[in-house]
Amino acid sequence: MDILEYHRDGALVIAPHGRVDSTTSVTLDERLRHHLGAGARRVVVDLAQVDYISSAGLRVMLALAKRLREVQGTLVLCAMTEPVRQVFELAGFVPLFTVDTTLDVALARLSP
Amino acid sequence: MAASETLSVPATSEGIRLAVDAFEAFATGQGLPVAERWRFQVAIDELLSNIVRHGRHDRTGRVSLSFTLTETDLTVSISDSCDRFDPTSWPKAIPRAELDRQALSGRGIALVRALMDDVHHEWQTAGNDVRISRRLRTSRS
Repeated sequence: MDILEYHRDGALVIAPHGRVDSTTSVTLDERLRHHLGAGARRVVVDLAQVDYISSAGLRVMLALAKRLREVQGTLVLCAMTEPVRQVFELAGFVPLFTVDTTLDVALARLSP
Repeated sequence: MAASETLSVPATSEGIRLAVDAFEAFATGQGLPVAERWRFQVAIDELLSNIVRHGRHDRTGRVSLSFTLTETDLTVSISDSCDRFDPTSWPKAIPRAELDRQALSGRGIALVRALMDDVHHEWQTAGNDVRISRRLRTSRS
């Protein structure tokens, strides 16, 4: 899994590519912790290039949401692929997150 | 026409990656659509990571897998040498809760059961045999 990381319109965008599973989610979690430690408070996770997500990936998204809530930050997920959307639905995660259809919509939501 | 493959991987994180890669190569080679493939990749990841994390008294340090594809069904069998663990004894439903009350872990086996049509467990003298299967909804290319 590769992770694209950049800032746009004042938000941190994290875009993992490939599988988000037990063998890759540790790296994703480390990168997210690094950015939150560096002060990121408005975060978009762009899921457009994610093949699928397992429970290990769900755990990373949940931990990120909890940490951002603790520091009054904001998290938006966007551009879920069909496998990711189905796993979120099966896990009952959809109501827990703000999910937008595209990155542009997500960034507009977070714009100051 | 039926196709099958068997392999053995170490009971490690690297072994999980090897198993998922091997399944992807098998499924791609057999023309299995992505819409079917990812469900098994998630399930293999969940079951193997459970073995790696929680499989106490591992006797061989390895996990055996087999993939069997027929015209209508795909089955993956996973055999370990760990203490008894029956995934069918776990609930199918994943508990719903608000964000603050969500536990960070404990969803993997329920997710496997939700993604598959059938999950079967047999306890052998030397370990567990778990068989997951699904009737194919989309045609192979």
